Amino acid sequence: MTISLLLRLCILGMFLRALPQAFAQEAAAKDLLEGPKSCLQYAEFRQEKSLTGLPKPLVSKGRILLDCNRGTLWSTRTPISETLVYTFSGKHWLINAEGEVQPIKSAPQKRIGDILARIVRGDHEFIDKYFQREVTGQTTRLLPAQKRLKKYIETITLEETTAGMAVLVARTDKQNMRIDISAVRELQNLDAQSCQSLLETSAGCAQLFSEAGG
Amino acid sequence: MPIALQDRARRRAIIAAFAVATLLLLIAAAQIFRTGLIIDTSLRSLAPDVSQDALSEALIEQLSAAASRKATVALAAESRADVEAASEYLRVQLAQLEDAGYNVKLTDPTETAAQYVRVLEEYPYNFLRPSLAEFLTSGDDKQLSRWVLEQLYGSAGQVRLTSFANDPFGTLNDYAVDLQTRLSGDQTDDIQSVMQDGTRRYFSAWQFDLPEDGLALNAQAQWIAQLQNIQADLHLKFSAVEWLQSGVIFFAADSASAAQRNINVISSIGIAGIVLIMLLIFRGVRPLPASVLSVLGGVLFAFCVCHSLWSSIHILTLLFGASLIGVAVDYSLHLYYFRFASPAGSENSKTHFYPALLLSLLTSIVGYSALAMSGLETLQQVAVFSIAGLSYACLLVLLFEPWAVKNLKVNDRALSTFVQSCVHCLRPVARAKYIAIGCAVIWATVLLCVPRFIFEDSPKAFVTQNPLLLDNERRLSQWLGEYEPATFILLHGANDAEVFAKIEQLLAAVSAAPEILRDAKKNLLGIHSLLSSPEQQRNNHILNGVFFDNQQLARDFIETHEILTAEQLTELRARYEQQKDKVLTPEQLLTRIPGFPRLWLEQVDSDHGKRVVTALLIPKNADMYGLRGLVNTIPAAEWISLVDETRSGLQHLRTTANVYLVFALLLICAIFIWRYGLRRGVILGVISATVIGGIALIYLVAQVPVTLFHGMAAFLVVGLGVDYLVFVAEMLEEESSLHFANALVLSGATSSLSFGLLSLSVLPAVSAFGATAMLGIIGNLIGAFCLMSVWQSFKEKQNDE
Repeated sequence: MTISLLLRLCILGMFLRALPQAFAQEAAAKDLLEGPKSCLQYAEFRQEKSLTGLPKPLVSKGRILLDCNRGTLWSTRTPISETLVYTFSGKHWLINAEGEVQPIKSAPQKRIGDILARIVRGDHEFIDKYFQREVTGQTTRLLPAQKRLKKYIETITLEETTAGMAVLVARTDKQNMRIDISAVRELQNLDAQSCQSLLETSAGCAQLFSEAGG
Repeated sequence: MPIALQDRARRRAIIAAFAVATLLLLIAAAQIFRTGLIIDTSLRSLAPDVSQDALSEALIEQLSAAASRKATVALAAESRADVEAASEYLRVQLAQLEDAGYNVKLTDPTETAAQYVRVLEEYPYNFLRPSLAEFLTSGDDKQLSRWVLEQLYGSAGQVRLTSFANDPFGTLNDYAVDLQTRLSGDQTDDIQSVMQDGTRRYFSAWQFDLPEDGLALNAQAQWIAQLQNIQADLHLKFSAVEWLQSGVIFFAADSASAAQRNINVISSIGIAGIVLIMLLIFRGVRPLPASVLSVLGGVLFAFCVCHSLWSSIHILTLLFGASLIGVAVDYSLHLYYFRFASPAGSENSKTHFYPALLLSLLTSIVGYSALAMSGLETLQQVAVFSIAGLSYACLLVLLFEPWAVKNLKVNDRALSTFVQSCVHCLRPVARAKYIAIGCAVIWATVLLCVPRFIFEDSPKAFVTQNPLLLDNERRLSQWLGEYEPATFILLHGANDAEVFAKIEQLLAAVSAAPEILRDAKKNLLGIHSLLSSPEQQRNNHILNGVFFDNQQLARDFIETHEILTAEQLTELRARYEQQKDKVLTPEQLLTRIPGFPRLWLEQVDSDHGKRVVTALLIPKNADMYGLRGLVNTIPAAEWISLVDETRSGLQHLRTTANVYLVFALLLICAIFIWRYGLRRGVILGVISATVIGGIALIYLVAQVPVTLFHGMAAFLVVGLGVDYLVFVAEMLEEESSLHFANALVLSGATSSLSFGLLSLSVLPAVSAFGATAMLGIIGNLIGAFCLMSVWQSFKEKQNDE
């Protein structure tokens, strides 16, 4: 439970912090977690997940929308269709392929939502509480600072790529994960309609813009 | 025989007896080295009629020990940011403590969870969440295939505890995640909120596992000290954040600390007072070490003998036994006075003094031995302890005699005047018939008013009740909704299936009465919360078979998403078939995962076959009365309340001790009659009985709740009382001077300073003991003065005749 939550935290945290750097394409060594961020953002992701005993990694793709006043949408498009809605009001939902909206009740997933809220609000201390940073060239490595986390995570590496950036999570059980983030865009406005248009699905947009006060 | 020869013979006898006793002591001490020191602190072992069978007893012992090793700290404030900041500070401080090697750690559920998943993976198809089991029965191929893909690619699989090799469809992972979520509840450094008095408060809860090794007490004391330092720092840095704590260790530490401070003051006053008296009366402290050493030697001897006989010693034996040995101080004082009065020792005085000493010892031994006849092991231990200790202490008094009385001087003119005045004042009323009438009136009143006595047998007498800690405990129990640490439900059965069926029966009964757990934050926690029944496991294995027969899933796996090849899927099916009929039993699970509460014990013996006992933990704030009623309707189900059992044990001990106190008085009276004849013997016995009756009457009138500790102190009162009476009776035979009575007053003063001052203790048990001892000492002195008048009257009559 803890591990998943922290993985999510790191991935989302790094994504959010890294977007401006991905755009800037700066060559100079810098911490990919540092820098300004936009309040409204859009990106696409490709996730590779390795599982022990599975011959090749599981690949999924999707889109992400961030509104630092309302919350986040994490929409997986292939091979399954589902959308996660994390709002800052503390309400979170899962919308499946058939459009069924289910409130997220499981404690780990709720916590992911809460943590996401903290990161989006720029709680920088939060990341530093769990990790030490090592910045080398175009790469930022995060090393677990706490014993309990070290049991599960070896390193988390952020790399700039031509398309955007990559996040690699090396786990002690070798069930590693890689997320490539691309097509990052800062948005000027975001409402339910543009949300639907960006994600090409209405799933989650209504929840984000109604429940979060939009 | 000349006096010098008599003295030499007596001296040789004392040394020989000391040598034999010391040899015994060495043998007993060697035995302790061999077996190890075991001090039984369980109050439940006091009452045989409430104890369970050995299997249940072992289970309860493990559960209560585990509960007592839990401690919780919470940081609370109205501002979430304050709690977060304070929590971060606490986290860093605790990590430093852990790095510094302190043996008390934050509870780490992740380790236990990892072990648990590894065990479950050996039975990958045996566990299904109930709703999933239903879905597997009703869902079509397409739905099931989609569910599996969601486990692999979707958010459902983000929390992945199992490997693909062992759990290709994710059903076990689904079960494990659900179980973990239900069991782990509120995790450390997770900020929670609660409404209190109409205000929202935020808090973080920190749970600790305390060590269980032999050095636990020491380690815990150090840890508590460190935690208090952190608490003080936190208070300075985050004044808006409240520190709350819950757990037996905090009560024990607070009680010990309060009692320690209190006892330090009391004992300092007591020691200073005794030293002052010794300096005033004997013009030196030489007699003091001899008295103290004799008592300490007696306690040591008694401890070794009892430990060898029982292979352990109960804490109450130590407490009561050591107190009863305190009578030995009187022997020293009598000896000093006797030696001062007749330094060379006239033959006549010696023929009275040494028999008086032996008779005093004998009556005390007989009095204490009444406890041995109670049939209760704890009281038998107290009897053997006090008899062995008192005898050895008496021997040491005689052994130290030549050194202790060297250059002895006594300055007791004021004391003599006081004694003379007391005897004179009491003379008009100190008549045998008045004493008898007084005794009869007192005892008649006491016996008639027995129903009006207040008795208190709560184990709370052992600790001080800190209202702040009680408030912390109450609030945290509401906020966190943990489990009751000292109340359990036990279910018995002849096999696993029978016990699981009983659990189901109980759960069904609880579900049918929702008001029982309405205010509780959790459900009953039992083995069913950790493990499916054997029958359910077999059913789940069968249900998992639908995945292998699902053509849609096979296509998705092999063709659409290329997750597996057809051969790999066939291999998985073969492994699934091999798992058939394999069942994880509670015993196997709990043996392999020490982090889980030990809720299950089983035993196989040739007489009864297999016997199983399991425990269910009760969430706090449950309707205990209603739940108990339900438990009573389930066959082979038992409600266990350790507080009730301890109370019952203490009550049993109290009533038994009181009965045998009367028996002890009768035995002592018999010795008096044997020694002094019927009339005089009865008078001596009546005085002792009057003192005890008088104390009982005071408690009745003052409506003081009577506890076991009052009863045990009454034995000390009897021991001291008969000692006074014997010396009065013996010494007045030989001399008309009341000079020897100064020793009684001196003894009363030192006893008051050592025992009586305990009445000022903050610990209710110690205070009860001290108050009774104080009243008894006063009563015994008055009784002794009365006896002097009565005895002098007898002598005058004898002389007239």
